[in-house]
Amino acid sequence: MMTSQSAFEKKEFNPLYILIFKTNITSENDLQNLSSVLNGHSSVLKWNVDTDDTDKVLRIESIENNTEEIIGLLLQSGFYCEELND
Amino acid sequence: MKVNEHSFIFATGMRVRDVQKEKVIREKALKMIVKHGTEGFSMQKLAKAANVSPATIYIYFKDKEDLILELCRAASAKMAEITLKNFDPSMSFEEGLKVQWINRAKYCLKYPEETHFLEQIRHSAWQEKLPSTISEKFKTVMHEFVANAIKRNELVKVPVEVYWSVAFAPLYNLVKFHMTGKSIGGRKFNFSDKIMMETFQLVLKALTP
Repeated sequence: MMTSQSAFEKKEFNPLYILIFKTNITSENDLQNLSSVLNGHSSVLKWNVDTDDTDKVLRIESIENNTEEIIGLLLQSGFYCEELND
Repeated sequence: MKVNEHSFIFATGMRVRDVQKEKVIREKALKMIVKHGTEGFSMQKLAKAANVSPATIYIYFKDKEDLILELCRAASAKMAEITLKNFDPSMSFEEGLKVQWINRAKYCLKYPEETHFLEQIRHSAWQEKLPSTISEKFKTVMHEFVANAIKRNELVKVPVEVYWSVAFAPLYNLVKFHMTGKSIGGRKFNFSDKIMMETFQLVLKALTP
């Protein structure tokens, strides 16, 4: 029985938000810590950090426009995080 | 890009995905890589050159690797599409190879930058990171064509490297002369159908049993 709508199904019907941040995430350890924050998050479909880039860009595909919430979560976890505007 | 093409994509600040902007980013990236290679290429440099912010590039591409692989996929798909146009692996060897020459020449002359880009990738570690779906289909069709021609005794049976070096390298060499505008000893050179067909006849002669 289907009890709740999965994130994947939600993607079919809802707009996808791409959130872009400048961070200070560099090490494997940082990435692991970030995983524990983002992997369990209900609106985050996919995320990655471009650690080769000077801005250490965090890119999130989200089903909500929850930029402020993400920044809060990262700051709480001890990371630097700022929205990168286009 | 890996995102479903049909989904509505919004950037931060509710910007809708801009197809035109993505096209400019792709074209600029290809130009930069052809000119300076993939090593020194970066999202920051691309942003400056394309006159967009780095965040804009990250809307469309996850990172440098995603961008480069996506450029490879797009260029290979276009190359395969043009090369296989009006081509059928059951064609006679002469007809099939002629169609191949015409198509390959057309692609190289019409898209010199993409030709150069694919050449760069082919001789780099990027090649191994590419999903093989496009190249597999292309390879299968080419193998079928060669196998048919050998079966009908229209083509000599030689190792694939020998076949390729005789069947296609002469054409690519003419294209190379044309691109640089010069042939051996600095002689001025322009590609023409006449020169192509003259070379083609010799290639055909060499490959006929």
